[in-house]
Amino acid sequence: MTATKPEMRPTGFAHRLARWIDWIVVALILAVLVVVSVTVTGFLTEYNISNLLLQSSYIGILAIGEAFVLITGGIDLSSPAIMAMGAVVGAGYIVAHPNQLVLGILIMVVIGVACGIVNGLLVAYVKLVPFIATLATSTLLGGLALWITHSASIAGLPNSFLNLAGSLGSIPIPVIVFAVVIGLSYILLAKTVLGRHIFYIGVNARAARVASISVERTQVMAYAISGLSAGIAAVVLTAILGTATAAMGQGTIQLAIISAAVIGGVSIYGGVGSIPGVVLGTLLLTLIGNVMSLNNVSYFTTYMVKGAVIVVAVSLDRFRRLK
Amino acid sequence: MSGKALLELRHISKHFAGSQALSDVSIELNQGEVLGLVGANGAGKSTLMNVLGGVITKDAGSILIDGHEISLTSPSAADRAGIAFVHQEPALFSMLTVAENMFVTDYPGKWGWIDRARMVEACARHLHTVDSQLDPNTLARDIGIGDSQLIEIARALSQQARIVLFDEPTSSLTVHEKERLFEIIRSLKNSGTGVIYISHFLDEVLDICDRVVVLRNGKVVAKSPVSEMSMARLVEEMLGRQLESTRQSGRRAGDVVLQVESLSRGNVLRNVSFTLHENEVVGLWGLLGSGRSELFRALTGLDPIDRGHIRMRIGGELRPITPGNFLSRAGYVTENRRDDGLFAKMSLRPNVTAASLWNVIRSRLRFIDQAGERHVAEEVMQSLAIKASGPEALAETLSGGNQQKVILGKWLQRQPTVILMDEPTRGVDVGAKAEIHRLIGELADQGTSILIATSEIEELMSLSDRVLVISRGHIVTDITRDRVEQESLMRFAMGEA
Amino acid sequence: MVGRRKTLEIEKRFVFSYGIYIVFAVLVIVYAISSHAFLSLSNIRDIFMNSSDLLIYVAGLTFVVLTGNIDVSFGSTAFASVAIGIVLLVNHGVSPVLAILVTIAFGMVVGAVNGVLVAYVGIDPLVTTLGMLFFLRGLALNIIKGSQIELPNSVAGVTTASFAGVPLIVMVAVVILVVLQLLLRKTQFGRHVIAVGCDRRGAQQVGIRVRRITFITFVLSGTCAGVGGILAVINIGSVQSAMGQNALFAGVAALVVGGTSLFGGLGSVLPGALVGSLLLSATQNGLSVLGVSPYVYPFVEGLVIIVAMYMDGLKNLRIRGSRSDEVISTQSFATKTLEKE
Repeated sequence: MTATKPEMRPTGFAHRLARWIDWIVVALILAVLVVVSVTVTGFLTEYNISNLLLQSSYIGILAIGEAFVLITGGIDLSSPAIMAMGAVVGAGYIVAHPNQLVLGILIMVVIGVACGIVNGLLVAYVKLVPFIATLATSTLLGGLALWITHSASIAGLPNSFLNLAGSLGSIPIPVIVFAVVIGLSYILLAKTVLGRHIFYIGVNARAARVASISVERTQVMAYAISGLSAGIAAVVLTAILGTATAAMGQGTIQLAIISAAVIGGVSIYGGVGSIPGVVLGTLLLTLIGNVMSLNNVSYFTTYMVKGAVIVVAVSLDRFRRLK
Repeated sequence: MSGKALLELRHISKHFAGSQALSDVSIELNQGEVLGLVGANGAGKSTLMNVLGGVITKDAGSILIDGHEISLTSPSAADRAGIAFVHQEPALFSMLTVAENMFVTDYPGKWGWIDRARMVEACARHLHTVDSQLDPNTLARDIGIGDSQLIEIARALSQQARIVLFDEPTSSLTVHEKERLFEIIRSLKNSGTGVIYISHFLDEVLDICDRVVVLRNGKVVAKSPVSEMSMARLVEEMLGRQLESTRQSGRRAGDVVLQVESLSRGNVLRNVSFTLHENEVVGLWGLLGSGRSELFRALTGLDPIDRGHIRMRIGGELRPITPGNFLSRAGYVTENRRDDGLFAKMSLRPNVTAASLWNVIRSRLRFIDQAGERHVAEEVMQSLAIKASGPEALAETLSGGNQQKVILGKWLQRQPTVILMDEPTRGVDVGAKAEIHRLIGELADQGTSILIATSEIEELMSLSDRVLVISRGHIVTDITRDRVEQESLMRFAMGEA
Repeated sequence: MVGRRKTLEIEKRFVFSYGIYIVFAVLVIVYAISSHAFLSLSNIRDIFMNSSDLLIYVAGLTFVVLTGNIDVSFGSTAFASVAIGIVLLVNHGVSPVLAILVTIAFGMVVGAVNGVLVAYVGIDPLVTTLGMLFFLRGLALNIIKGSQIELPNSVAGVTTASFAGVPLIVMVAVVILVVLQLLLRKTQFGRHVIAVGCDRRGAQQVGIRVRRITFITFVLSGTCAGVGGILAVINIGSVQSAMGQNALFAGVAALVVGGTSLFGGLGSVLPGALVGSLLLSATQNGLSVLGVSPYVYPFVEGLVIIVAMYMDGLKNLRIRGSRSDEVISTQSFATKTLEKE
């Protein structure tokens, strides 16, 4: 009884453009890089580049975790709060027990994973809307972090921990951690069964269910991965800053994460995305901030530009779906 | 017939990619007449309805009301032309009241301010004309389908509709509601309204209609007063030439592989029991809403069941199995491949392996062997003759027939002993349909047990070794193919015989 | 069997319709027993005054959410609107009336931009308004240069203005709430908002202009953000850089606690937005009256919203039937059907 819809291959300028959109983003980054490195003084210094990469590292790690959730068709608004929570608890432990460094780091990571699992359970089994579930856990954890620290920053971390922000050869350790996370998450998402399941449920959850793929379990795993990335980011950022505060999870960071993922080609509607894309998106976004600060553009204006960038990026996302 | 017809369709044609949905259809409807419109699935009834409703535009032909040509380019144009619809399951807005639903596009009042008293009064008045005691202030979510239809009818009356189309109005109604509906149709008729009545239930058509038009493959094949029609002739006209059994399969059904006992789910499925054997294609035949798809969903655990047992042959003996476990061992080609079959935004390769990823896992770390996966995809493409640029072609870019083959290929990777298929050839072109039929035959020859739900008698007759007829959630008969007669199928399916 | 189900159904409906009042009552009783100050007239007035801006934000947001969309930018919209208004008032000598008009007009324009992007361009409402949230925060911070701007003495009298003991801002808030509730209940527009939220495609089919309705709801939300911002400034007496930062959480929480479903179609301004906002405001007020550390507030509020959302989820299962897959993605917020056109 169903009237067969004509099977259309999209044509026309917009669609042809849409097919090239990913390359346009790459070309844009390269163009900005070239222009910037020639025109902006102080950009091509070793100090600035390593600074840029340091910033990219924790944003990138969080964005990679976010990408896993976005690809399932969900959203995680709580990763910065999870990061803050992990950071203050872990840092507190390390300050109290300076010789149990590894355990302290482990605490940060485990808190991240545990919070991620809670998000996953709320979404997959309690069936809360991901947006609200993670908004609520975000507030809850952010509040808890404030409560624990009374909004004071936890300082006095031992040098052994602070060395994590140092360099190995000429490469900062956080950048190395970032690289490892990129590599592992790329393999996880693109090469393993779990990664494939994440795509399946993002593309068509009902078809996945018919194929006996557990939608719920996969969702929990995706949120757990996002939590894990928040835990790793907690270690990295605490080392970079030298202190841990509840404020680590506040401000534009959540926006930066989602922007990075979306600019990098992850669809907010799920089912589409790649780790290299997210890395690219992170670099572009950090680049914008970096260049603006080199040009003494006010911190406030950076807010505005980033806000505009995300709207443009999602417009591109919509455009991309025309493909 | 005196003077001009109320509604006249002249030489209407509509072409969709790959099929002629309507060709040269001419129908006229007079004042105070109830015209029955019947046809098998895919005969073009829906398309014709949509043309009249302004939902799709015709390719050729003209529509006249009172002898004047009108153009129906939008649903509101159909409204203005005085054409109203009563649907099988009326879509009311659940959080609006009955009265608010009735007048949703033209509330009484000024400047967008609703004159609630007038609205409620008018609503009650219109409801009264259809003999309904419904409170206009009830929320729509709290009323049943029968009452919802009454609201649609009352709305049609409120808009002074002169032509009312009923689309399968009775399939979800109780006996009492059905009688009430027929009374209303008669009174519509007496007041000079023209009624087009579309139904699968031929006895109803013969009962309520003055004339009947039969559509087959987009063409009008019969037009006559019901007094000159019989059930047998209607069926014959609907289905075309008498189908001889086209093929002797020569298959001999083997051991029982699946045994279903008293599967029940609310009013949807009632004590469904049957068995499937090796080397066998079993057709599940039933009309729209008879419980075909619901049976599949309950069997596979996608819908919960109230009661029932499933046993499956595992390792040589029949063992009890839960629906979820059954699903993970069987193949299930769903009714709507876009909704829950195809991973449209993915390439052919992951589509083919989705139900059997374990076959292409390389290491203990659960890595997917991409080369192996591509190899599997290429094999499936070859063996099922899927036309695509390669394993990396996006599934959504394939034609309907090829998409369906991809889905079939996905299930074959499991080498299942039982495959469920729900309308596997719906919306695919003739060539692909024949190929899918051939594949089904081959699978059964190799030992697979296949349960195929279809509403096309032709498909049923050419494929199945045995036929289960389901009607109102109940298996009413279980017969071998050589004993199947078309007319008896219709009668069984309508719950008549 | 059917009969029993029906009774259960009715019981459930009762709990979910009135559960919020039960929670509210318990809360008030606990607070009142713990502290005599809680039920004092001045404290009750505080609760109302401190929630007056929230009430307006939530009322505007209600319309957007009823259509099945979301607007997360209202806090920043309020901030940016009043930043412009107060700079005009203080630094440019513009008359208070004009400053108010400009403030409201700015909110309206922001809403219109959101509305165009969501309804006509078809961008996801969550991300559109998230982008807007940050854009406007940056804009506002630029305008007030990150400092605090006090209301000038010439208009400071308005902060304490009251009639018959009822503060001006509370009166304004209540009047606006009543007007918006009438708009929702008594006008064609309001009914169409509900229709769109119940069944977007169905609404399109009967000829409701879904895009236009969607657009107007965003304009309404933006306008309400401007008005709410003004009430907040009158209440606090100044504009400072933290303004609107917690509005998103409080607004969405109040909305959901008040019984509005995030899936659209179900909800109200009165009593929904009112009760939700007051409950949230009273929760916080009570904690502070009891002398609980302010650091605990967000934690308690997070718990409140999780419980409320859980109830919301159950409520939706009741209305739409359980199709768990539909709950999975953020698409519930998206203009899903519009895109398919």
